[in-house]
This record gives sequence, structure tokens and C-alpha cells, in this order.
Amino acid sequence: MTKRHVFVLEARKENLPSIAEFIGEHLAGQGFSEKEIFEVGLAVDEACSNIILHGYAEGEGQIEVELAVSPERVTVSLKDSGVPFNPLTVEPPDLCDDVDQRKVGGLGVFIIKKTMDSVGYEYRDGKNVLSITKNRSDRPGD
Amino acid sequence: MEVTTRRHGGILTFTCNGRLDGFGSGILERSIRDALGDDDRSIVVDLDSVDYLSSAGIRVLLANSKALKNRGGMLALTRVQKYPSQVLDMAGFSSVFPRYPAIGEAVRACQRSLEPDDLLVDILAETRDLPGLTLSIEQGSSAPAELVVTGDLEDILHARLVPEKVRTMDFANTAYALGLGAMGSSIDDALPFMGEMVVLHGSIVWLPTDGHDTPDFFTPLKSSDEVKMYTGYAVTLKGHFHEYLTIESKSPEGVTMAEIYRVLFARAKERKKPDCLIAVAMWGICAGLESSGIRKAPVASSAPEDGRSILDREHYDEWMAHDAKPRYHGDTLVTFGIGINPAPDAAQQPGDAQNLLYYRHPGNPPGEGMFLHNQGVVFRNVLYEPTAGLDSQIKKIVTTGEFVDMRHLLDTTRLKKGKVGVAYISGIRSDPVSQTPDTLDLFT
Repeated sequence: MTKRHVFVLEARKENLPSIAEFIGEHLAGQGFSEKEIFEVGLAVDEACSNIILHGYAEGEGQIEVELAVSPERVTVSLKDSGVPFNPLTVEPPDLCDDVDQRKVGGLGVFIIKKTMDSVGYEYRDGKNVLSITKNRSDRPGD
Repeated sequence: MEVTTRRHGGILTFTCNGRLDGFGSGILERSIRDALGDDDRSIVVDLDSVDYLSSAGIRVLLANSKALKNRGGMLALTRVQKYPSQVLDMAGFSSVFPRYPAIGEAVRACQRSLEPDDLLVDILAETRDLPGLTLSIEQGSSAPAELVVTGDLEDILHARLVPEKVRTMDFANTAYALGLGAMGSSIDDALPFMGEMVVLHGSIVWLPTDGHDTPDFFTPLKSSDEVKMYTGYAVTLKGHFHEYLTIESKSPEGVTMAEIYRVLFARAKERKKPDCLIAVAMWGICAGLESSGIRKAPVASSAPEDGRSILDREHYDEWMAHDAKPRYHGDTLVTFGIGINPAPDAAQQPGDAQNLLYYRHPGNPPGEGMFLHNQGVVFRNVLYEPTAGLDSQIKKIVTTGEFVDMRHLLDTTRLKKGKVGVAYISGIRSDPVSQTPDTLDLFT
């Protein structure tokens, strides 16, 4: 059985904490570990930050966050009607130790890929749709 | 996100409470920008109450870490919690930001990173311990220095400026001067806007009396006759500084201009130099600028009807913009000024210095026993480098610094630390155009 929750919000930086709250609220008590909840929250936050900074750079818009929780996994779909952009094409950052050489570009997408088990993007009905999935660790391969 | 800013052992420490996400990191970024002084090289970011860090937070930490490294310092993290620590590791920042378990360790690491510079200062000059401040002295020029006075101070104090009394000024070839002036294409253009002025190595900064309270900064790229600087009164230093002093206040509140000049007069006496008149340029870290500058051009048509000075009690508020609320903490302050010490133990009486330079400024506390006239220019984002030479550093600041403000300083203006150039003035020349005798030698 899959439970679905939808949260629509204005794409503004000050709303980032309430997205985290939404994720935390609906994943708590569903059998996910604290670390898994943290990582889903982090990935969603990074994805939303990208939409706020780049998708709606010139104006206002909304982000729709849909959470699908099943006994095996959680999938979060993020929809926005900003500039069409596939974040999965972003070059991975160079992870060297020298402060002078380090850049932050691409770090958000890198974190999403690193923390999630699968990530998908499509442009559908004039909207960017990014779906990210985290499997529950105690049920591998289900 | 809440950010609390404190200093531990002189090192700025930012204690964050909340989420360092795209929103919270903006608050941290502003807090750092607001608090970072031009003499700060290292900071500590305390993440004890931060359970969430995203790439936006890393972005702010990285940008500041790079900027501080360029200043020869570092950004140290302390008390990093479990998940933020995992994010740093995951993102490949494990060894980019040094992390310390306790604030004290992070502060000590920052202090250690600054030590080589302090050692260098000690080697360069002998350091003295005075009440309230430490002082080190380096020798400068041994040639005599004098002041050239253009115009008549009385014409300013009694608002008697007319076009015939206004002169042009060759500021592009002047190192240090102060007074009253305006830029314009003609005398008639400039006269109504005559305001506080200072020249620093060929750049002019002036505060037009046009009611906007916004100073202009001008550096000529090449000599040009199109725009001229007109002055009704100017004091120009001819000669070089005899000594360079590096001062550092023992308290974060800093030392006042009056206290610094008192030290300089004492030093003059010790050197058996003429201690009644000195010209002083400083560059340092501001610990509160207080000002009072002229707000109307002292032209004859505006003169007080009672014939009294514009600085008289009943005219002061109308003529002077008095602002004793300390401003610009941590920013870079460059000053040029003169000081007269009429104390009974002065080696010589100021003589004509009294007539050509002295006036009583009611904005300064009475009973200081000395007269100071200083103009200050505020810059931002210029690293404080105590080992740099004063003149070359002032040149660098006026050409590359971010200009913020210019004011006529009250003696209560404070500096946290600074480098001071002192010229012990051995003569005053009145510029021939002001209709007074050519040469007035004070000490002959």
C-alpha cells in the first residue's frame, strides 16, 4: 500500500524549512531510520534550492512536492513550471582537497545522486518533474 | 536560523542555531559580512546547534574560507554535529575546512595562523607598552617638513568667501592636504558647494555642501584642465614623515584621536623635536567615527548677520552637521590632519600656527589642551597589513579600496589599531595668494 501526500508551496528560500518539516512529518513513524529521513530531506532541499535559484530566477512560481511512501521505499516527485532543465546532466564537482580549487557548482545534484537510490527526470506537460527514490535499508531488494 | 557573533581572544566567532540551508546560509553570510573587520583574517564558525547543512551552507563556508585564506588566515569549524559532518564528508570537504571539537581549540588554531605577522612587526621595530596602547616606532625622513596655508581661516569662520578669495588647487601632485574646497568647471560653479576636503596621494575626497550629505571621491587618470578643484582654505604638507608609529589599542573600544595625538606630542618632546605643531597621516581600523563638518558653503552672502563666527553657539547647529554616534566599526579609516600642542611645556609657542591654523571647534570636548583638525576617509574590504609602509599602503587603498565615506573628524573618533606617519613641522608658509607675508618661520 502506498500513501501519497502533496505539498504545494511558493518557490522562495524562506520556505525551505517548511519543506523539510513536511518530509520529516510524513516519514517519521514509517519505519525509516533517522539517517534515511535526513538524507531524503537533504535531497529534496537541494532539488528545491535549485528550482528556487535557477528555475524561477526571474520571477515567482510554485513547487509541488509529492511524497509516495510504501513499505519498501519513499519516492518524492518535485514539479515546477520554471525553465526546462534536467539537473541530471550537471557535471559532477571536482572533489579535491585544496580550498582554492574547490567549486560549489554541481554539488547539490551530486548530493542528491549520492544519497538517493534512484533519480529520474522528465519534462511533462510543461513541467520539470524530478523523481527521487530512497529504498528502506532493512528491506533490501524488495 | 539565528547567528550570534562574539569575539574570543580577538577571533570573530559565529555561533549558528538552526538549519544551514539555502535560507539559513544567507543569514550566516550576512552576519559574517557585517561583522568582519578589515583587520580580521580568521574566523570560527560554531555549528553546535546546527543539525542540518546543505550545499548552500557549504557554499557560504567555502566562499569565506577562500577569502580568508587570501588574507593569510583561515575559517575554522567547531562542534560539527553528526549529520552536517556526514554531508561535509559526502561532498568531499573532509579536509577542506579544519574542524575542532571545542571553540577554544578553534580559536587557538586561528590565533596560531596569525602569529608570523606579529613576529615580523616585533622584529621591525621596538615595541613600547603605554597606558591603553602599545606603540612601535620606525624612522622616516630626516629632512625638515613645513605646512603651506592657502587662504585665510577667518574667511571661512566668518563666511566671507567671495570668488576673489578662491584658488585652484593642484591636488594631483599633492600627497597630503586638508581644508575646504569644491570641484567645478569655474569658480562660480564651485563656490556654492565648498565643503570639507582632503587630498590623499593625488586623490581628492570632498563633501559638497549641496544638501545631499554624500562625499565625492576623485582620482585623475591623467592631468586634465576640464575639472578643477577650487579651495577657499587649504593646509598642505610639504615634506615627508619623520617617524612611523604602529599603534594598537589594548581594549576593543580603541583609542581616541585625542589620545593618539597626546602620545605623538609626548614622543615629539622625547625627541626634542618642535612639539607644538605636527602633521599626521594615519591608516587603521576604525572603532567608531564621530564627525562634525560644515554643511553650508561659507560664502559672503550667507554670513551670519551678527558678524560672529559660524562656530558660535547660536550658529553651530545651522552650520555644522554634528554626528557623535560612533560609526564604521571594523572598517578602514585613512586620515590626514594637523595638531597644535599649546601646553605650557611645549618647546615653542605655536606663534603663527595659532593665527593660520587654530580655531575652537565647539564639537570637541573642551579642556583637551590641544587643537586637532583631522579629515577621515572610510574604506571597506582593505586588509589591514601592519607591516606595509604607510605611504604605499595609503596609495594602494585610495586606488583599490571600496570608498565608503569622508568626514571632518571629532577628536573622539576611535581607532582600534593603525599606522601613523608624523611630520614634526618646522615652518609654516602662507601661500602668496592669500595676501599675507610669504614666509613665516616659526622657529627662527
